[in-house]
Amino acid sequence: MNKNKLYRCYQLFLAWFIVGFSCLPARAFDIQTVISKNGIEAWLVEDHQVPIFSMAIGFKNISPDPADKLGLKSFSMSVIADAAGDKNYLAFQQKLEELGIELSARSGHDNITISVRGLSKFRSQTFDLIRDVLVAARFDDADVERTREQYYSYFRRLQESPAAIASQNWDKMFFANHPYGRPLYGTAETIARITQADLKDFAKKNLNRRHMLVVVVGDITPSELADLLDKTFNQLPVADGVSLWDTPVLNKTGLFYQPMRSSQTAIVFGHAGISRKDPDYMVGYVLNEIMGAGGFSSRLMQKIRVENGLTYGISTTFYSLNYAHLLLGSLTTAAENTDRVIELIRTEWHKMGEEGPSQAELDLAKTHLIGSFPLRFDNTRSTASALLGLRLIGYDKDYVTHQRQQLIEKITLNDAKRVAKRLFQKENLFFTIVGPTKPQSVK
Amino acid sequence: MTRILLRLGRLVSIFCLVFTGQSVLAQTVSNPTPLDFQIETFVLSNGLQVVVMPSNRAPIVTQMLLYRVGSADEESGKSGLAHFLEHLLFKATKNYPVGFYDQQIHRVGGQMNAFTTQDYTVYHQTVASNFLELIMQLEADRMENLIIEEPGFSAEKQVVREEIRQNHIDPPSSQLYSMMQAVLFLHHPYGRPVIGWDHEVNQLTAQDALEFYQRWYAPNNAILMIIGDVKTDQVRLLANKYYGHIPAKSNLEPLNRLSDPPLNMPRRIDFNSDKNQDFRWQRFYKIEFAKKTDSIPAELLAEILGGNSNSRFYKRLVIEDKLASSVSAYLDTSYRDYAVFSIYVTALRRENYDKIEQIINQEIDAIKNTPVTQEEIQRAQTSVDNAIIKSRDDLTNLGEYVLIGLATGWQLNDLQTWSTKMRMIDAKTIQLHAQQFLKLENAVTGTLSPKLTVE
Repeated sequence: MNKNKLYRCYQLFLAWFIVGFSCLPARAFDIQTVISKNGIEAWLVEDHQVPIFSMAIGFKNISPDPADKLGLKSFSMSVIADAAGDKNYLAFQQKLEELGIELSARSGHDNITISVRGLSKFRSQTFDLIRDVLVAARFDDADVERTREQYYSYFRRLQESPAAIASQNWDKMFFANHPYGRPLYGTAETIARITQADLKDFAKKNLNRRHMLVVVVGDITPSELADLLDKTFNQLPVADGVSLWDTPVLNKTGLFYQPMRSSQTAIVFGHAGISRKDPDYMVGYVLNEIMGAGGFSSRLMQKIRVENGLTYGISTTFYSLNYAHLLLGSLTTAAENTDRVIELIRTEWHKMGEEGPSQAELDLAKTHLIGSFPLRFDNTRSTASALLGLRLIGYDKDYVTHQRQQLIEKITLNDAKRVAKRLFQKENLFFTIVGPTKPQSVK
Repeated sequence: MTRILLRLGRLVSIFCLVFTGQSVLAQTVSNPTPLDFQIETFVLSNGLQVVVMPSNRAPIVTQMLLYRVGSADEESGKSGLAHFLEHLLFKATKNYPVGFYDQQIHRVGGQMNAFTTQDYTVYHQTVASNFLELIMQLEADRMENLIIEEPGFSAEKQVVREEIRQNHIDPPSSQLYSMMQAVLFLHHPYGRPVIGWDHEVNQLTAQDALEFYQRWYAPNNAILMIIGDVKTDQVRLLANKYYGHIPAKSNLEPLNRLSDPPLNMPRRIDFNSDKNQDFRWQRFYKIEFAKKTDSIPAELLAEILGGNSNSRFYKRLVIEDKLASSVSAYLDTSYRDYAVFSIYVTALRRENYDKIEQIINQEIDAIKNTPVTQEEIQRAQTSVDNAIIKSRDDLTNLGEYVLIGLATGWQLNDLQTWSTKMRMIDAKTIQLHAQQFLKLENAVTGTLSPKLTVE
């Protein structure tokens, strides 16, 4: 290898690096707060270069599904944008198509998100249709039944994937009887029980302005938006919600194996993470990057894929719900490698807990997490949905423009080592395994 | 369905581009109207074609480097080599050690990936625009300086074989897809999977990969696309600086791919798998267009038959007869030598296959016998017009579409006039296309069902 050339590249690279990030945030984020006459508030990022806008609407504090009607929240959101007002499915879908509107709604465990992309020339009609969806969705029988069949098809396909089953098993066993452990999309039995009235009722109760957050990005001015906010959201009810969630106990450990006829074994592993409210949260986030979220640069990818060729991909995620925080990973590997992979994961976990990362790893992860942030904001749709995601967690504008970067920048190697010791607990790992042969590590 | 709209959108959106001519010296377009995109192209002296789509909406830039080589260019018996080589490009070069490339891009917050198809291989990175020079330098370096060595080669082979297991052996739908492609293309190399057959991948050597690299990776066999917050002059400067010195290869032989004989009979595969749970019915038609632009009426035909929830198939199978939970049809024009018109149906149950097939055949006969309505054409054209505007929100997708078009035989000005041509298409043309191309003797029909167990 030509050392000279390598050095030149580094030099060049460092020079760019220093000029690099100083000018980014200001250009990438100019977030305004728009408040309508009736007090409905939204974040707005104006961009008039393309005659398009996107809107992301979130509703927080969604209650758990009733145990006998699992999948209700998801099912309800799958049907809500099918038909509304005086238009049945075909008429409504035709209208969306004619006006070039992309519209989708979904519910997670904690939040509902509705996302829209439309054309400036049909701006007012687009907001009218959104209003109809929010306050006058039809939930026609035919639409409910068709969607129900799509759920059945989804459940059948889920059973074809070892990775999906391993992941469902992990949630189910780790969260025990807590609602987070129940399948978000329900099961064939519970979906069969859900009625049209249930779906309507869910939408009516949960599309609640008190828990609503709105982000709009694109070709729209603050005054135009203010008028449209009233027109679109004014009819939604305002009610105090009661949270029905318990805080789960997260202490399941060990290994669970389920047989399946496949050539590979799927493995899901993890344990509790760190709460977003905890001052160590951001340190944990950076450590997760070093362990498994940083693509090729991460330790697990290096060890298990690059060095040993044991998988096509392995990754971890630092995952937060309102009432639980996880450090979760997954991969698939040839069945005969299962024990070896589990051992390698445990070893890496142990090493990270004992020694923490190196200064070089920490620096790399920090600059990556700072530098990659603006890439989330490259079109109106991704910008609206990324900003809504941050709002739903409770972050403010200052977090987006400055605070996030500062929180990452100030992490020291000592912080990282201290939190690594706290976070990476080899003996707390819980593994679920789905594949053709039972690994020896499963007793 | 969204996929189809998106595809249509991406294709027609080329209409908005302002094209300045495929000359060595590009001219900058002045005063683009709000609906226009700039696209500029020039060719380096070593034959590298450079295409630039500038936009300053976000301080981000994407580089895509496409080599005009894919799995259809592999020697028989060495399936999977093009894709395997793609993996190896993320290893060492003469100048930089293993891991250097990823680390540099990772450090600046960038994203990178690559993909291989039958006809081309694409490497791409997205970074803050300040780092354009870095990614151009790294990409140019691996155009000429790749090193393939142990133990990286053997480990990477295992990675590829895990990829085959994960995405092609275990999912039953992938198995059906591979088999249908193999039967649709009996002789042409499109009949073998891009990722390769596992037993052949297992035999590939470092020497195979190196020879393939040395033969095909050259500036005069590549297209460089830069999209985003850049100026064309800056790109020209950097392209010359980093790619300009790489010698052209004179031994790039014209690709001599086998072509299929006329098959003259419908084929079918019914696959009952114990790994499978759902009920799928699907059909692929192989289409050979005399010229690329002949595909335009067939795109509208796909839209009218199965492009959305108001399409003929969807109304019949999902809404009226309730035999299926979803159906879609689309035309894949991203191949160089053929196009594939495909129909995918998710049946509610196994017993519905016969009726589904009957209705699909009826609807296709109907469109052959009676011209589609003016309203249907109008609707398809409107949705395409809307998609044109929306495609401008995702410039990287648009750029990728132009790039793939150029690599599969489209001329830039044909892409540019796509939408004008699309608007002139009448019911008669669509009818003729249905008659000419949707013939059962050019098609393979497949079903995928759970294994029937005898208790």
